[in-house]
Amino acid sequence: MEENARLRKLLKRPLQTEKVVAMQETSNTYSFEVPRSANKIEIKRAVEGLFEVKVVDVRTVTVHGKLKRMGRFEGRQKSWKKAMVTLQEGDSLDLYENV
Amino acid sequence: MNILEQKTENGIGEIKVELTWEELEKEFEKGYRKKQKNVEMPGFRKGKVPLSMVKKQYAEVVQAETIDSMINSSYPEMLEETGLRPVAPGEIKDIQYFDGERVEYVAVVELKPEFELADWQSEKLQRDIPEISDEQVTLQLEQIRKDKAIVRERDKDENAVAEDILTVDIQKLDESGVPIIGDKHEDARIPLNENILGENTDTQLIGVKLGETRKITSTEESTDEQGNPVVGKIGWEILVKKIEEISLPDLDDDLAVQVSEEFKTLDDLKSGVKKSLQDQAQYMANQRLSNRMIDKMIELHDFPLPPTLMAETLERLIDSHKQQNEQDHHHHDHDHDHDHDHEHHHHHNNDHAALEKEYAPVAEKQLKWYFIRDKLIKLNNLQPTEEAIDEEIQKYADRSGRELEQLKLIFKQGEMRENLEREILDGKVMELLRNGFKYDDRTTTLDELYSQSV
Repeated sequence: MEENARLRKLLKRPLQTEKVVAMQETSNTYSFEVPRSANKIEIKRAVEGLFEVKVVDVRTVTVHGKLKRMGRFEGRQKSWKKAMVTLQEGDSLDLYENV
Repeated sequence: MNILEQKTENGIGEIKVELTWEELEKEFEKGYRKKQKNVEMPGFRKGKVPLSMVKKQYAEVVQAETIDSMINSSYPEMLEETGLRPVAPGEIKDIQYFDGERVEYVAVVELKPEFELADWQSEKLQRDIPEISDEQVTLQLEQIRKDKAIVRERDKDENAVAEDILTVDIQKLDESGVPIIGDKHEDARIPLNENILGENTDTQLIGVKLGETRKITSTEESTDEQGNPVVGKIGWEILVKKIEEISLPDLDDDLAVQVSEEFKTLDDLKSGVKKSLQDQAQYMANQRLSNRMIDKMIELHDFPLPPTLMAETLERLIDSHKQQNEQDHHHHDHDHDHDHDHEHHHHHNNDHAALEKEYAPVAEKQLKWYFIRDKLIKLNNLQPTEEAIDEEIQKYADRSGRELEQLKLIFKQGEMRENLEREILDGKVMELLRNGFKYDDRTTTLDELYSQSV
């Protein structure tokens, strides 16, 4: 149970955009927001542990926060880490199970 | 769509209908695709959200909407399959949803009442055969003389005599001779042979001259606080503004020619008058007979009426009653000189329930006749033929003097045509009844016809 909670924390939210959906369809790759400290090995374990699937590849990228201006104040949105997890052929994730 | 069950009782049909999962699924799919086009979600352009996401998120909404529209679209199909002809929009109840299996619903429809026509042809009705008396003709001729009277205004020094017509300002006085405020009429016309102000008032006015003011007395019947009739004394102060001498023309050939070119002699005029009175009386007699025939047909047939239709008919009658009242009210407000009929005003306050009670029998009669008429039309295969329609239009063209082709354009389509067809059918139904009933003929005078029709 504790292990499960720890894994859940690693996958902050699934990403759902047109591009992500296209990647799911073409290369069985799913995307998540993950903590900036998470590494590929942890992510692979998390996905395999939570969804009982086989992960063949994990790629990560840090998405830099955009510059935002509020009048004369300039700031930057928080940067975050995106993980793209490719599953073994035949596996799939039901991300909206609890939607 | 399948019909699971069908029963009819007292003119109400209940039909249990099933929508199969196969047809539902097909429609759900269409619903999702339609929904997909309009769904907006962060990360997606409008209409680009994947169908699977749409299905997960909008399943309930789409399914409910689809079932709703499928019930609506299956309703006419159901009517066709069962051959039922409802007279009012049906009601849908007991919608049941069995996920992955089917949807069931029950349609409740009001049907045309089923009944057999009674043996109306063996019934006997009173039929008026109008007869115009010589007195009636004489009275009418007198009226014509009055209409053609020669009028001359009398000079200042001439006195009014009987049969003259006075134009006067008139002020009502109470018993002690004090003017009653508000009871003054200007330019009233008083013919000096009708005693319109009360008994023996004309004699008191004979001899007046132009510009003269004369007080006369009269009696007036009213009721006291207990409602007992009382005869009170009243007076009038009358200012004479105009005196007209009326000379009636002689009843001779000249008058006949004056009335119309088609008359050459007095005898022509007399027979013309008699004929027009005869036509008028015949028209009224026909009218009376039509009413009697309809009443008899309604009396002979008893069947339950569809409740919704009954309620609608009643509501329509009450509405038109209210509208009529409003118009009258409006009229009266602008007509201060008139002595109002106060009874009439009480009617405004009639609440809906009282009106319903008053009009329920009328509505029932109307509706019953509607179905009996329908049955007569069907059984006897009465139809508004093209020739009959053309004939009617031709008649109208002759009457109105409008161009035939133009009228044809107006009358041959839409609501006007429907009205025309209804009129023609009405005529045919009445003709059928007139030829079918048996009669007890009775000679009737014009006066009797008038008093009957009130």
